Amino acid sequence: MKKNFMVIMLASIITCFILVTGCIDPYVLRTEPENQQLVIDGYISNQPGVYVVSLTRTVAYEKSPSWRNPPAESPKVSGALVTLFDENGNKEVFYEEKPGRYLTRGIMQGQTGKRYFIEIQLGERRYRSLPEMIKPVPRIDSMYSGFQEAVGNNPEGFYVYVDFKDDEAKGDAYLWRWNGFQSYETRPEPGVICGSCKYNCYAPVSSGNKSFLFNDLYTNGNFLKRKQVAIIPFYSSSPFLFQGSLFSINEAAFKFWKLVYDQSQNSGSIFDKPPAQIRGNIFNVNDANELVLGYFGAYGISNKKIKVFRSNTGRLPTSFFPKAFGDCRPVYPGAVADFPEGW
Amino acid sequence: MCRAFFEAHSKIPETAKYTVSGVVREAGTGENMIGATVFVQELNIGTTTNQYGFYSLTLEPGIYHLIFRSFGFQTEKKLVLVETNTKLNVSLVNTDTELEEVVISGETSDRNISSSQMSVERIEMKTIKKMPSLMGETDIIRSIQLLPGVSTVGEGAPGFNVRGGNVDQNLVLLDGAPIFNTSHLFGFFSTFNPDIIRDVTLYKGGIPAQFGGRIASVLDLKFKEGNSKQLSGQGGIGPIASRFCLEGPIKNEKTTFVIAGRGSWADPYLRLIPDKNVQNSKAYFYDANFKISHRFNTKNALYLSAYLSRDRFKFPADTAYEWGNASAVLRWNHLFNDKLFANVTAAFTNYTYGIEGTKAANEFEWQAGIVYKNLKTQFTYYPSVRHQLEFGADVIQYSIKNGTLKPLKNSPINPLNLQQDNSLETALFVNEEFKISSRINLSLGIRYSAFFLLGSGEVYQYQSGVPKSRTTITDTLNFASNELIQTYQGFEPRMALNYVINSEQAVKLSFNRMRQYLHLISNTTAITPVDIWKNSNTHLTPQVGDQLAVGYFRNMKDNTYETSVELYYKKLTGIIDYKEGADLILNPTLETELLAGTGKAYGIEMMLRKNKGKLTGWVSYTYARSLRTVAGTTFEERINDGNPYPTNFDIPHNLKIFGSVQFTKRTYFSFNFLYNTGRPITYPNARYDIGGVAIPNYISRNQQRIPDYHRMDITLTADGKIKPDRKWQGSWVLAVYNVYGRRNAYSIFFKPDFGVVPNSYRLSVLGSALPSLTYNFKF
Repeated sequence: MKKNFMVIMLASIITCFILVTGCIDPYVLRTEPENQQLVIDGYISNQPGVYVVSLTRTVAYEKSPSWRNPPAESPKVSGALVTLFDENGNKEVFYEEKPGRYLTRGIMQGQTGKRYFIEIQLGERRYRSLPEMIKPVPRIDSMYSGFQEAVGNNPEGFYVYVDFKDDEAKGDAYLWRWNGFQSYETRPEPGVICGSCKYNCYAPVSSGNKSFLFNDLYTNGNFLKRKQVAIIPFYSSSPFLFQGSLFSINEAAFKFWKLVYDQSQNSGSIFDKPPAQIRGNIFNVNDANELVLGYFGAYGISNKKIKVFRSNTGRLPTSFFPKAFGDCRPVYPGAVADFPEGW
Repeated sequence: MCRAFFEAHSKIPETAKYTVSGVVREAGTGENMIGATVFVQELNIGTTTNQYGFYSLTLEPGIYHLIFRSFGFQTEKKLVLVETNTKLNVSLVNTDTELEEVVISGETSDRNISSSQMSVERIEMKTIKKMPSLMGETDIIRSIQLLPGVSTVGEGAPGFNVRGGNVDQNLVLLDGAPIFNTSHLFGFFSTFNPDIIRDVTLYKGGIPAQFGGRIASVLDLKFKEGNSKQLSGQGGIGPIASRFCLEGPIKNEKTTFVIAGRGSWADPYLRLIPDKNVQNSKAYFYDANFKISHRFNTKNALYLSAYLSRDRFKFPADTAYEWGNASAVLRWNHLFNDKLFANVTAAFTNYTYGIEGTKAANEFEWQAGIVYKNLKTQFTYYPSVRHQLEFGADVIQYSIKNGTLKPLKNSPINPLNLQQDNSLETALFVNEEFKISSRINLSLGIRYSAFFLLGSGEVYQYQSGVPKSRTTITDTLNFASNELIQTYQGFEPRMALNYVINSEQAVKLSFNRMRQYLHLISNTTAITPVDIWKNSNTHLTPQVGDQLAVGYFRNMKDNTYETSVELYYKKLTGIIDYKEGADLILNPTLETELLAGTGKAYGIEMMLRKNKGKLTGWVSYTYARSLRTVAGTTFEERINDGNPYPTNFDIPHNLKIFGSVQFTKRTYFSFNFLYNTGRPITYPNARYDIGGVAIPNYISRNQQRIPDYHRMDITLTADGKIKPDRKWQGSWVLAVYNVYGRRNAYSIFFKPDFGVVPNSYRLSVLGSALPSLTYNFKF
């Protein structure tokens, strides 16, 4: 069912045939920086709090990026009027917290079973998302992890699993995202005499394109046990705070995110599905032909946190982060010195 | 005596005619010869032997010189006195057995001039065996890709594309049984053991009325019948697989057998690779063939052939793929009289494919397949020397298992059993070959095919005007067992006309319509072994293809050189394409992912072939296009906004060269060179970030191309000496695939790199020179 397995396999067989590794070369592609399209990313959920919408534009391919030559950032879209609506006509206007990032003030709160949409006024243009309903989300019964050695394509690491009960209704779909905190410990700079001194910091890590997406097509109504949702690498023996979120999403959102993840994992084989234009649920009110990218979703979210202890594997981590000295906060992006909530 | 004959003749009424008929066989092995020409010198007219070596000529009484000819064989000339119905069986001697002769001599045939057939390629097995191979595996599918009009989407991709058609539009018949998957090891090798194959014919157009069911081509592969003179065998030991074939008579010449097998040993190779994932993978394939033939008497012969192939690829982590064909064919040839030949064939094929998932707490087994049963009767009637009439009927029964999902162990997966397709595909056909004059041949045929999809089953009805989706189902119709769910039918006219300008030149014209009721559902660039096959149904209409072709054929220097130019134009309807990101496996509402479209393909194929001399081979150039249009009413139902777009196998420029040079009587050198335009690909016009994921933004499908492809392969063969006291003859084959090690792009793709951005990469496979050494033997 997973064709990318086949693909990797094929590529490997081929490698075997020719007994040379590295048949994958960078290939420089340049595209014209023509009309940049609007990209909308945000959602409302059953979770209390503020909701975020970010507005950016597409970026052309210009050069092959490298560490020295970082890629251009997506341009942020400022000065838009973003409004959240519910099915009863209630609304709340977002404010622009920083360029391209729009937040609500927590006045409207998402409720399971209700429909929501947003409108964006950008100069003369007005965009609207299709109303989406927040679906009920199952409770995560338990979440646990276990160490696994590398097998085939599956890397070594701490595999995180969840157990939950799928709703009896057909057509449930789920998106799993996680974020976490990795703790680091550094020693003072060489020359500083302090035998027991050490610095601790906690750097955030997120699932990025390693999110899991699944539906109940083959498992409707069942109690799902040991559903694998993440792999935490064994880079360090220090604990890892893992915060998992189970998103209950509707069919359209499932299709959208499936295309996003499929295409981000395209391995280039002829056994890949052809790449597709991904059209989300947002349209220009006056010009249906304008291509608008992105999605404004309405999701039911269930959260759970666990601490993954990584010192009981009986051996040292296979790889290490670069050795750093002194305050570790500047070394790891976004790191904080205080315990994150739930540590 | 002559005078006596003519006096006798003058007393016979004008209408009296007699038939000369018989079988043309190969002298060395006793095999029937297909397509040998039988030419009546006095009348400047001729015929060819049918698929069972049989010919029949009805002539006015007289004395005639009959010339029996086939490429690579010594010509036989027989003087025949026709004053009664006459049996004349002829054996032709293979020129290859003339060991003293270095140069390939023998008469060449002018069949490409005299026959009305066009767009047909027959390659001799001995030519295929001379072609450079990948890892020493003589491969019929790779070999036909060296012919004009045949292409592939990529290195090692399964199947082949003919004149801008999909892989599933090719009917591949192995001794009469259809083969649904022609690939071993995901497409690197084909499932046909070359040692048991006797004849390879590819119909790209002008397809006769007895064939149907696929719209692009027919690849007709015939097994040997087995040597009726003596026990003999052949085989080979290669780096990836080894094979063996044994044939001979049982008791007497009347009964012969041939048995062949081939197996891979990929595992030891996988161990050599510095990649744990590959080292721990398990891969094997094998195929086995068997045929027994019995000639009861001059009027009846019975043939039974069987075929079995299997592939398994197990990834160490969690998934195993498995697929295989099993087929059997029983055939009865009967001669009612000298003018009426009958062939009755019963064929059975069981093609299965599946995936086994072994991931902890998620174990499953998924299986699908096709059970195919076919009964075909075909008569050939030879009323006179100018007419040949073929007619018959064809009934196919399909049971298509669209997929069952079974949980294993404590897996939470629910069992799922998609409803089966039960159907009948029937056809009546008649084809008349009329030699209007010594210059004009007309072949006119018609096939009427009808398809019936039967219950039991459920058919979903969808809201009209909106894209079909699970949420737009309005009603479900239930059908009882064997109740008619849907029917499709139609005429399929076939025509081929030949005008012989002189003995060296001819122009030809052909038209054919084909209808296809069976479809391979695949939305990847190359097909995979686990793509599902599906019959036409309420929502999935048949594919219909019309092809018009014209050609000019010219032979030179006593048929030493054959040249041809063919132009074709194809119009296709009912073509299937897929919604973006469609999910096709185990989908009970598959029709919600499918889109119907139209297609067209056109091209020009030029060929220069040299048949005689120290150097033999060909050069061909093809310019071809293949386009699709999917213009539904909503955005979701359109591809490329409803504008025509190139198919994945739209490859305009193709240059193919094959040559074989005989150095000494036991050594020869062969080479081939291929150049083609890179296949179409969809490039992004920009990238963007969403949900922490960087993704490329693709706009219109297949508007760019990967870099051009070219490759050269060589092979050097040295046959061992034949010693008079020993039958054993060994030969060494040294082959180098991709001699100059070009890293041809297999694909260009985009994946996130350096944190966020999708970077672009070129993937090449078989990207360096790949030598192999194979030992072949025969006795």
